[in-house]
Amino acid sequence: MLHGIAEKAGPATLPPEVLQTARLLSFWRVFRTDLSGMLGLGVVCVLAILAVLAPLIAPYDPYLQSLTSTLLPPSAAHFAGTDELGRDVFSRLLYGSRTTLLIVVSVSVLVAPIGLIIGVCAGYFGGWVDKVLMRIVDIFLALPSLVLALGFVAALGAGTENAVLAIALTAWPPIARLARAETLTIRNSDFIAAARMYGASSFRIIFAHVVPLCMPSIIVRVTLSMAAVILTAAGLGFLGLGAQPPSAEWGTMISTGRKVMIDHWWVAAFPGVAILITSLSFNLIGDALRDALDPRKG
Amino acid sequence: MSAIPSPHRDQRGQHLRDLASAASGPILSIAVAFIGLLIIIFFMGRILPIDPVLLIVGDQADASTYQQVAREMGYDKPLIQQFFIYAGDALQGDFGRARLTGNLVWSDILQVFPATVELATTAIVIGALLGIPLGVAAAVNRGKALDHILRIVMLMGHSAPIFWLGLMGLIVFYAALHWVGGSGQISLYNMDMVPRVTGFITIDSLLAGETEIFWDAISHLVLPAGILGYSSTAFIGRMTRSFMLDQLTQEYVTAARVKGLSRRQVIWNHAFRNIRVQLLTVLALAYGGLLEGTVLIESVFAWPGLGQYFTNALLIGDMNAVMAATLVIGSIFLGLNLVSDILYKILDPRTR
Amino acid sequence: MHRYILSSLVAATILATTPFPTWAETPKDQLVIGLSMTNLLTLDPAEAIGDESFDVLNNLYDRLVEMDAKTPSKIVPGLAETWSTAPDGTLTFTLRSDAKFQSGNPVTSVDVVWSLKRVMKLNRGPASFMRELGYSAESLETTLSAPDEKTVVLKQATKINPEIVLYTLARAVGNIIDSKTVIEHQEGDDLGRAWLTNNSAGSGAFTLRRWSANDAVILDRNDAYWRGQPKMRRVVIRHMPESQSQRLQIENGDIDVARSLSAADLKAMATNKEIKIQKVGSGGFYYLAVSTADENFAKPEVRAVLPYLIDYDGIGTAVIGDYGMKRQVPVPADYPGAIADPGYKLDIVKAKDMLTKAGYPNGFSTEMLVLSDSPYVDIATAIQGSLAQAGITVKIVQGNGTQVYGKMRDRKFSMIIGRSGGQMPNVLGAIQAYTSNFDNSPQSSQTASLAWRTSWDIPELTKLTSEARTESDETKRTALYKQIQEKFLNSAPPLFAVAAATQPSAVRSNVEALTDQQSRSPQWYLVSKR
Repeated sequence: MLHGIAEKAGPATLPPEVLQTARLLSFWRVFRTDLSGMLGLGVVCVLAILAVLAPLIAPYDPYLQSLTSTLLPPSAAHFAGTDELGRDVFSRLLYGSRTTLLIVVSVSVLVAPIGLIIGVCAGYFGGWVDKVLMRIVDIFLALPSLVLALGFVAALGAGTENAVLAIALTAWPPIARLARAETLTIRNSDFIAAARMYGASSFRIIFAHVVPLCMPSIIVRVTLSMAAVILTAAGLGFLGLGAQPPSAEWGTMISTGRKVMIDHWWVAAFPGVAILITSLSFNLIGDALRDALDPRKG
Repeated sequence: MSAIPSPHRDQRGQHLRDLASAASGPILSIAVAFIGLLIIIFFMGRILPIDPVLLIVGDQADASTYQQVAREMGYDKPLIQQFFIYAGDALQGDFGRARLTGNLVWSDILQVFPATVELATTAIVIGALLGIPLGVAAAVNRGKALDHILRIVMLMGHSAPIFWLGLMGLIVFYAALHWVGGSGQISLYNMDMVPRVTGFITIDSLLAGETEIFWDAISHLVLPAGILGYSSTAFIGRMTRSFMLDQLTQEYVTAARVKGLSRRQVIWNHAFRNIRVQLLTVLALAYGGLLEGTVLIESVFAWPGLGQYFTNALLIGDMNAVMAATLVIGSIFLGLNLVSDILYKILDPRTR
Repeated sequence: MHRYILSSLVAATILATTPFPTWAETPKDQLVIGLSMTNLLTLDPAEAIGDESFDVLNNLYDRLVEMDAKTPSKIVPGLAETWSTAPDGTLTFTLRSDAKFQSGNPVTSVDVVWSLKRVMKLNRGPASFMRELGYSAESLETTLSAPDEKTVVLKQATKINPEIVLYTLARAVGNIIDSKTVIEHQEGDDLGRAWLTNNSAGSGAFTLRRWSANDAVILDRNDAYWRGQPKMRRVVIRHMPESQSQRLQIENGDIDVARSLSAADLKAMATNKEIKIQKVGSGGFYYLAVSTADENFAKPEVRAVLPYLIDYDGIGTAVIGDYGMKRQVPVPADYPGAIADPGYKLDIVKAKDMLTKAGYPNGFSTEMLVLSDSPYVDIATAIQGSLAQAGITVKIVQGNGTQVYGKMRDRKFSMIIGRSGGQMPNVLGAIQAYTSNFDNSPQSSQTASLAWRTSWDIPELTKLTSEARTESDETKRTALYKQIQEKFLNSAPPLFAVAAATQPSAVRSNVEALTDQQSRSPQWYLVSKR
């Protein structure tokens, strides 16, 4: 899907940094016109604000149990009702947005550098380095990521941190592949040749020239996978392998909510809606990003 | 995370060489991937915080029983030796017995696999029936309100947690409305009532002439397959839309319109006809993506398929079963990717 | 174009929502059961360890003696028509002459001897129960014999109350297998282990048609059953790990019996006239265990605080529901010789005061392992809440059976919520895991003992417990039972009974002769449907 970026990075005639900035600007201009993409971006921004302000906004302590007020339906006192331990579902949803965004951010922060370095090394050095690294990528790509993540998290033990690790372990290969493709086009450009002539070391060329050039498309690619990260995290939580009780995580909340779902729909329904909205917003952003990168199809 | 095709890798090199490597490269990849999987899964199994011996002997067993079983299972040998025994057997196609069932892993997988194929195939049909027309509609109405609405409708299926849709679907359509059968592949009292021929319960019941059982099976299949299908709609629809846009901006479309062909004729008889092959590759990839969805949906619907077999095996650390199930899923995944890659290379005019 | 979209949307909606005929009831001659089968790992009587396997085995095989369906503490004849106890404890059984295996072979003393020796030779989980009686594969060679085709003699290996031997033989360990049939299917010297995992060779009311792990068990009627033909043609048991899905199906009439329902669902169905709720005492207990090897819980003063931080009443009513009954001694209240509850009550102020005196004015942080099932997690969360009020911060770590009990067997844990077995329907069966620890070293063979797992060194209690095992005089035994329970409570134990565990199930009201059965594993041949 992202070959558009690679193609446009093409043989450089202008200084690469200038080209980059111009690319980003024109890109934003296209993105801005995309209605649903902007909607998604807006929702994600609101969500981020809610997550940051959760302690101020939340009407109750999300962990405070009250065995006398369990499973109350939504009301003015509890917008989204209470769960089986009498905790306020709305407050837990707010705090859950923190967990979710935390997972998304941590996975991105972990995945981008790993994928970037592996991909750039493979692309830059070529030869057996490329072969070995790309074979590893192939192994990881040979499996659906949820299946792999399930395996890793089962091995590492359940919990938020391990879920992040497991998802990161399954999410880097596409990034590496993209970084490699980008590097291949950059490697042969004139200014890299020039840098080499001035005697710059491989290390320096990679980190001073290649990596910065790859960054924008990597960031875009990472954004594209955020919705999937959210869903995988929720899936792990649902199978009992993600965040552990009593922590407020949407997937885990559905998993416990399903135990009372027939009579008390709100306990499982609201976290599901929250995941839906968040992941939909990220998907809308992703869709708009793809279109903006490939205006032919916009 | 459904599979996203990356049709263009390097475009250096000659086309012929590309085609040759398109066939041999992936096979080599599969071989390497296989060995890689063996290593990953073996060591994953050993660091799993699950004690396979305790699982067999139970919580109330005493030390003598525990040690005997550990010895029998080869857990007293050094780790490296255990690995070579395991890898040696696996390379000869012997994945051992599943701890859960005591059966040979392969026979277990043959038992559960048809259920998953039945579910995923029905789902892909539903996904295609929804995604392709919606994608075409979105392309034709590009940029208009309908385009955005359709995009959101399709993306919702891709954004909603599939297990949650399953739960909500059961509550609404089974518990409240009684429109569909509940979890499982068939009503329980109908289990094992028709002889197993193909393993697909819908086909087997028809072969046996049991139409009542057939409808029973359909009523259980509709909901999980519908949800899975809906989840694949976004990908199919998006690709359809983008392929159609490619076509609709071509000159022949304008020419055809000028010649006086109706809009509908141009869209379906010309533009759509040209993207059919591309759509096949998309469906192949979407099918691979569905395999992932089956893991969660089978758990919600107690569907006796490969996904459930895998999750159950994983949760009790039955690595023989996990290994084989992973290999099956992985091979299908690789195979589908390979098919779509080759199709793409052969058929896409731009790479030619 | 728009019309096409509209019509395809309509078509899709119709396709996805067409109502299909759903039948309100299961057929009259089939019993359909939903339960969680995660612990059903084998159907070999010498290997099976979970309650779910026992349920099935109980109906595939017969035992020499059985626990009465309505009064489980009463031993009644099974394959043995009569038996006698000699003064030295030797048991002599006389087999029925009309009992046949499903293969048509008659049940003989050879099968009995072979079956029991097989348990010890295979030495899997169930062998532990025989070893507790002092038997081993070697000692059975001399203690177990078959003087003629219909007589079986079992001598004692160590001095023990014969009642305990009978209780053990009435459990799954004592299932009698058709030795001829199994030997035909033997692979190497596996004693038919591979074959019996998936097949049955018993004399029971049903035969095994199919077992798929974590999916389904299907049983067919044994038309020639010696107690008379069962009324159910088939018994279908389906793996349903989720309580809500079981409830949906039983309310819809798709299953007749639901065996693993959550407390909340049982409560919700209490008013449903079409469904009866049955509660069977298991003799087991939900317990809170703390390790005396843990730096905080090593102090008896800290352990003594815990009974005041368990909300027994709240857990008993709101959390555990039909899964248990409030009880503070790990012995069911209705067992002869059980003592009354000491009357602990949640008392945060007192607990805080005691903690301060023990040197923890600000509490401490610790970790609690818990099975990720109902009602364990709910109990853990409730206790976590009350401990937090006294300043003890608990992090809950969920895991499956082998993870939680594995850590416990390694004696590496701080707190655990678990469940004890209740091996026999008497005081000893309920409490011995709590009060017996012969060897507190890590190499001990008594790994099933909860006292050992909590590293709790209790020579005196252990001695009393052994005395109770060998004592055959009932009055003296009852006195010993009392003494053991009181001493246990007064020794600042690291083990706390939270509630007596009961096994609840929901049964459609047209199913007869099931809800009046009180044994843990019901007899399905008695069941009929209206």
